[in-house]
Amino acid sequence: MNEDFDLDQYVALMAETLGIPMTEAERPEVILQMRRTADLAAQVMEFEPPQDLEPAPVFKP
Amino acid sequence: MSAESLLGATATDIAAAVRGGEARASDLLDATLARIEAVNPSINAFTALTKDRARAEAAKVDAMVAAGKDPGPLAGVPYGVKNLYDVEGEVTLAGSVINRDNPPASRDATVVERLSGAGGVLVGLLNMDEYAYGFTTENSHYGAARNPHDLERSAGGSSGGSAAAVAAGLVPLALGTDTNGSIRVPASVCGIHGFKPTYGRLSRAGVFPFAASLDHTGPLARSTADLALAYDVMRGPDPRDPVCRTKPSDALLEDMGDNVGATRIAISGGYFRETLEDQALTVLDTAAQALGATRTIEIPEAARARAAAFVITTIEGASVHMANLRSRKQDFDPLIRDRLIAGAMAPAAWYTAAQRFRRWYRDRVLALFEDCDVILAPATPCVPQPLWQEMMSLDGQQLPVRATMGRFTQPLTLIGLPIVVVPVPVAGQRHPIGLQIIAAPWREIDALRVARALEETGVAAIKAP
Repeated sequence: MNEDFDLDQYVALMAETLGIPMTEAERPEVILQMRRTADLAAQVMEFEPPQDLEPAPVFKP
Repeated sequence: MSAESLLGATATDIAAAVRGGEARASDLLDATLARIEAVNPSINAFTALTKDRARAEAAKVDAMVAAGKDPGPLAGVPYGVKNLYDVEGEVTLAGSVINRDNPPASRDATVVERLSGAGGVLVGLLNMDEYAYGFTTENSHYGAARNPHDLERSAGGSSGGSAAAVAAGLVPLALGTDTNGSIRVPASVCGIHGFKPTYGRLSRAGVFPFAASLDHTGPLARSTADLALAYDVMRGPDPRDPVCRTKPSDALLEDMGDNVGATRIAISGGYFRETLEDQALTVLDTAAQALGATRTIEIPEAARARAAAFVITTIEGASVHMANLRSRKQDFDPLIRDRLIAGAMAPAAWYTAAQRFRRWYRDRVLALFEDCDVILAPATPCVPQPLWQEMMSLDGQQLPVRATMGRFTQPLTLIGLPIVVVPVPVAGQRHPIGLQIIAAPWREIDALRVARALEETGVAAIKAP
């Protein structure tokens, strides 16, 4: 995972994509939370389980 | 027996007194409501009382006893529920103002139906972090729940109102929910017992969702027997919850007193002995010593498991609130709003990676249970922290309080293990830290037996605030 991606640009684009209104003043706090999430996601993304691993949870109809 | 003498008693003792005709449920309810009115303003545990319903339920119990009928195993036991549970005729606020626009619930959550059906008397609804997204019950709309042991400190969260109400002796039993630790963290820092059964064991129907693949329901109480009593009443299949186990579940109360001599008990090492206060280590080591446990095992990849739990939670949580994030995001508690927005924006690749890691981790942790039956771990890394404090120092690191409280609970909810938390007082320490007793999936009985054994030796005990 590229940990240096441009979060400012990403958050602005995703807010527009998802239709979440966001002022310039509101963006820094979302960027901070996105950075925290990205740092934790990086720990998960660097882990490489076997390709045939079934994800959890299994849906049981 | 006077009703006042039952204030602070266990649910087991209250039900015995009411069933035996020694006390009336209605008298106990009056005493309970008076105590709540006297104490609740200082701890802000209850956000609403359900007096009319409680009076009707108590009167029904008394009428049955007078007629020689058995009102059930929770006869006359006052209880409260986190404001995430549907209660017929009440709006399920989930700690929000947004949900005020929802209609009142048309029926009780399944487990509430079962508690009241067993003679329980629902007295009110309990404070929580908005939408259960927190470990401190600091709610910008309804105020913080305060810790009965120290009113300047957090009661833990997100079921902080539930834990504070039980710890202050307002009710002997309360329901909470646990997605990342929201029963276990408040039980730990309020010095009471908490129980999160296996994922899928207890119905979640009629409980407002947080992160569906992690959400659990469960009780908080003042004794291990009361946890089992509540569980026995609430257990069983429920077609309203697609996750709820379809096979019947055995009752646990009668079997939990069996000797623990054959139970293989391990002590968690590695991650669970790092970044914590000395008191948390003392809790762990004191319990291990009392149980004669000497073997230390390491739960692999616990830090990554916590990260995966965080990722899954934020993404599943955001999906519940997407429409409101678009149309009225200013109405969310500022403490959770931006985390939900970040979750809404997270790439799908993060979520699928977390779910795949979750499977790998589950398989590794379950393998540990081939050589042991329960694992002991601290429930929180530290004592309750001062309310509204952002950062704390732990092992020389500056860490965010709100996230750090879940350090030892999140890696375990990720794979749905059944866990009992018991209070383990440490001499000279005012503020509590609890112990997690972790069992293999569907083996709640092992955790309860160990909890009971710790109670019998006096190592696990409720300390008056």
